[in-house]
Amino acid sequence: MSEVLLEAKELKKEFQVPVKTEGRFRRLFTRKRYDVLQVLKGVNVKIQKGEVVVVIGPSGGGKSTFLRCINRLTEPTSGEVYFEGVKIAGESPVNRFALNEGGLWALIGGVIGLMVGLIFLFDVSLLAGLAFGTGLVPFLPSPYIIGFLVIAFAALGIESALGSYEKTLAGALMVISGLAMLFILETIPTAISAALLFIGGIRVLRRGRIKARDTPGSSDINEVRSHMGMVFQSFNLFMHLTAKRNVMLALEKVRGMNAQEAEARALQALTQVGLAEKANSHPGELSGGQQQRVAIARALAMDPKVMLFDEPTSALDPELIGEVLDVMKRLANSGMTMIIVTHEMGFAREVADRVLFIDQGVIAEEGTPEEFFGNPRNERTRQFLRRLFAEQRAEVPDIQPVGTGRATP
Amino acid sequence: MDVWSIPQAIGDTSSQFNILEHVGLFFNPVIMTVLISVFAIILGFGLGIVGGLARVSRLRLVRVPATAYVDVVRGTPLLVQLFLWYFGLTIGLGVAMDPLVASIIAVGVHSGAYQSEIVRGGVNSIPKGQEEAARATGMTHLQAMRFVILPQALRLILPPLSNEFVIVIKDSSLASVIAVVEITAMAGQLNGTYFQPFEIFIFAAFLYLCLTYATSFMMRALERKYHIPGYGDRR
Amino acid sequence: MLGNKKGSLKIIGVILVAALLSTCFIGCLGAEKSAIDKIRSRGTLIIGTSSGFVPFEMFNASSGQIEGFDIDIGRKIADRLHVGITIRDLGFNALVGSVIVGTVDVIIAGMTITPERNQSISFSNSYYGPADQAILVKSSSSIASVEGLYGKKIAVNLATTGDFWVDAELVAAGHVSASDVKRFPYAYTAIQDLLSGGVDAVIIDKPTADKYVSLNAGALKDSFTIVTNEYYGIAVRKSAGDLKDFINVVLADLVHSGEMQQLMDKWF
Repeated sequence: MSEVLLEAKELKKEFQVPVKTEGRFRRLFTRKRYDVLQVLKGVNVKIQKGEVVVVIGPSGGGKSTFLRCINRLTEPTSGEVYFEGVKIAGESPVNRFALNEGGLWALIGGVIGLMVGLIFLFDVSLLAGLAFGTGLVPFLPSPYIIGFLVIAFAALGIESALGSYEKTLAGALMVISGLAMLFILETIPTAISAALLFIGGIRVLRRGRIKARDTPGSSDINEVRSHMGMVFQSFNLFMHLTAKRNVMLALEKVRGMNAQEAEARALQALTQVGLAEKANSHPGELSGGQQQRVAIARALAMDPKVMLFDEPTSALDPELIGEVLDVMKRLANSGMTMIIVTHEMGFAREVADRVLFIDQGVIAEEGTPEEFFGNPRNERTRQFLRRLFAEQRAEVPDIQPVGTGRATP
Repeated sequence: MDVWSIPQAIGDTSSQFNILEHVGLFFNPVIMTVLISVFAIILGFGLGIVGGLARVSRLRLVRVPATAYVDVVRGTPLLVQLFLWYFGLTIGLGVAMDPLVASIIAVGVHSGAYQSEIVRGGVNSIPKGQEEAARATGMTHLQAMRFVILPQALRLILPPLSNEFVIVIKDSSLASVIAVVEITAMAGQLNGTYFQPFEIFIFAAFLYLCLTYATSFMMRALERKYHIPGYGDRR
Repeated sequence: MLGNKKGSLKIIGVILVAALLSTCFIGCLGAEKSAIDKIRSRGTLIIGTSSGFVPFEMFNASSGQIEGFDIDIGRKIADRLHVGITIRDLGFNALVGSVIVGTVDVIIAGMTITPERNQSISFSNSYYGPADQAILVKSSSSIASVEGLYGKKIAVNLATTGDFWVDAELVAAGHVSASDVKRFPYAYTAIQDLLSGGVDAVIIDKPTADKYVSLNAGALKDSFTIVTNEYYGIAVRKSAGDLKDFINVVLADLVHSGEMQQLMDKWF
């Protein structure tokens, strides 16, 4: 009896859609602006470790929304999600913005104290008190201090934009401007205080410690997501990076690996999907099937406990679907827990442990592939399957395709 | 006392005025123009990144002030802002503000508003799936911005950014009204001595053209260097 | 996750910065400095002027500097203060505002002492005068009297006494329409407009008009003198009484020692 890896309880999701009113003038005067579209109306499911669950259903039925609620790319309106027994989505008594409060209040208190002191003790105008107190204008009025701070923050902005590769340029700029200001300065204490302000400000900005804890759930969603791999219909590879760096990025930034470890792991993952020789190619140079396989490698490299697939082959040319499905089959056989939203029925029959049919926001039917495809109980399920197979039959007239796993009558 | 001599009259083509004799006078003014432009561009870019990201933030606390900044700064003339910074800082700080620094701040802040909008446009045109994929691997919003969205967005916005940089170089000429001796100011003073507006101002225009062309050239080189293979090629 | 430990470090850091800032500030925002002290500690006297007003201040193309009678006087004042000079060349209309705000320390720009100006700034004793206004025209022009200006296009230097005179005597009386009067921040732009034919006459101080005539070798002529009996003074902001007194002492000294006469000979 395998442990339950993921559990969804009464998942509901509403979207707000703009209301279409009749007539041009009516629209200006009606108050009601949004209608509510109930996409998920209460989904309950338990997924065990090592299970391969395939989700099918008509478009608009809620299958993609359900998948995206698992890792909260879409935030469920109500209901709960549990991952390894820990609640990751749902109501929680934790405050919405649990900031790094100590630091923030100290900052505010300091500013107010400074302002009050300035205004009452030294008879400074209110505006000047505000400017000085918030540290926007340093005290010893040398315009070069302002220039220094301004240049320094500009350099900070540039550095954030450029990333680690061009950091030396921004760093050099900051050092040069700092030295220049030191020469032009009139007093040393102001230089020191300005520098401290600057450094302190940067540290806060970069570490991001004053950040909002996520609303529902009690664990950091980013941490949780790093244990779930996701593969998208439109691949979503990072176009400006090579395949290898695509895979390495999360390893370095989320797992904190150094470059060599990340590179080794990345090449390993790429080999797993059979694309080691394309490691230094950019996504724009790869075919659709290759791109999707790199996306799978990217997700695999993080050693996820569960892999989520959102219609992974729907955007691929038919002849490329096979290579991606092969990778997924191997993954399934290796014991990975997978949730796959797909239209590939043949594939579903081959690898699924369980099939879910989501229609109109609820799980209309579920069962093993034999039960599901052989003897569907729900009438709508039967209609859907009939339609699906009719289309697929029409697509493939006489030829028996090899290796794509398509069902032929 | 013959400190200088003015040629006969306007339109006197036999006059001995030759602008090329006075090229040396423009040496320092060109440096001034370059200083103002370079630092204003840098300042504007920093503000542009911060402002652009703030404009697309989920938090209203961040988004609203950024929108106010952009609207106010774009909606008022640069000349007016220049006076405000120059005189305002002098009054506020109690010391005579260096007009060069005031010009840099004014032009930089002004350009920053426009660059914010450019950055915002760039960030918005990156498909949402990019950030989703980044978040799905566990990266925070800022990490996704910094390592996935902004690198792509910056390449996308190089053309409109280059346009904005050229505008900054031309805007630097406004510093002449607060007594910064840059290219336009020197041209005006030279003309006030020799009264040969065609030669003098065409030469000044030529100097600006050199600067703007060099900038455009460098930006195009940047575009080529950072081009992503297989992405966004229409050529 | 790593919250609390780093959080308390942050608090300490913020308090430290605030404390340091306070100590800085206590040292600095203390006594209000006098104008002369500020100039001495800065090391330079900022002179506001408006070039093109020959020979008081004009641009020397050979040296690339602004030179003139006013500038030399400014230098002498600065020498006695043991500081250097920085020249801010602004439009004439911007000078008063600048000295009030403090972006310049003194205005030495051939500025006439008037009761209206005295309301916002302080003048030293006069260092040049009496001067009148002149009608400056092209040599070929037939304008030779105030009446000759009626209905004509006139250029003036913005915010000068010439500007005020045109407003009061010509525009207000209806002899010249307001749209025919062009007011330029710099004197040389007015001269340029006259030379290019954009206006028929320039009303400007007589010493300047005469100098332009002599330097323009026959292109211009000073066709009429409007007697206004003006005296030029050096202007400072009202709160800089000490600076004004100092300047008066220097001016008297220059006259006594004969240096003033030397300067007059040099420039006029």
